[in-house]
Amino acid sequence: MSASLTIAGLASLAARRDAQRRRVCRLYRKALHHTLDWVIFREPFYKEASKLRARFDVNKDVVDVDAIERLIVKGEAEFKKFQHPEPYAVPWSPEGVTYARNPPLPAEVVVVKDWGREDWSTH
Amino acid sequence: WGLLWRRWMSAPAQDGISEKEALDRVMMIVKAHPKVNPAKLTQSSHFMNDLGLDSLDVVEIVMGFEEEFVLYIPDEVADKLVSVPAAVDFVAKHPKAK
Repeated sequence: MSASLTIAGLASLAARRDAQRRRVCRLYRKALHHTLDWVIFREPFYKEASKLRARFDVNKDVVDVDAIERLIVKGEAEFKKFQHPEPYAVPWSPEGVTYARNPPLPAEVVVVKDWGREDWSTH
Repeated sequence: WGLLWRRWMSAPAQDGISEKEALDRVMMIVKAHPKVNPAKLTQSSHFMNDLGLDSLDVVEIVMGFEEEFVLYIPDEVADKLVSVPAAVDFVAKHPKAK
């Protein structure tokens, strides 16, 4: 505890808290997306999302950094267990189905639209 | 009628959304969040400072943007969408926003 009362200690504590906040937000984001994947219809999804939010809100006021760390690790393990095997992704996104499906042609290739005006009669 | 149909089929798809439409839709999504007070919402509201929202509420709003505009928003970009002008800017500039 006394190590955290120095200036450098406080700065590293703030950095740790920031990193933890980011981890919690990303965990919540992934959990929400996967909840929508499991519960595909909207009304049950809103109920499940409210339940998930309530579970996150229970630990809203925890101050101790180590306790927060333990909760995050527990949450991530639970997410790993209950994640959806085939999450929906926007088609053009890197995890989607049409990613790089029709890449743009390189600049050297010139597409000439002649509409069939080639010399068929000379073959 | 056949001419109208053919015109629709051959019209080139507009890339992206205009700023005004992006602003309207972004405001609509933020207003739809239960914890947002619509009277306090302006064009330049910051979610956490002006509207008093939690970071998890911001995550929910960003998910609303992803669903409305059919976008894929990676985590690093989503961390930065913390205000209405930032969101409008991102959506209006995105080429794949519907």
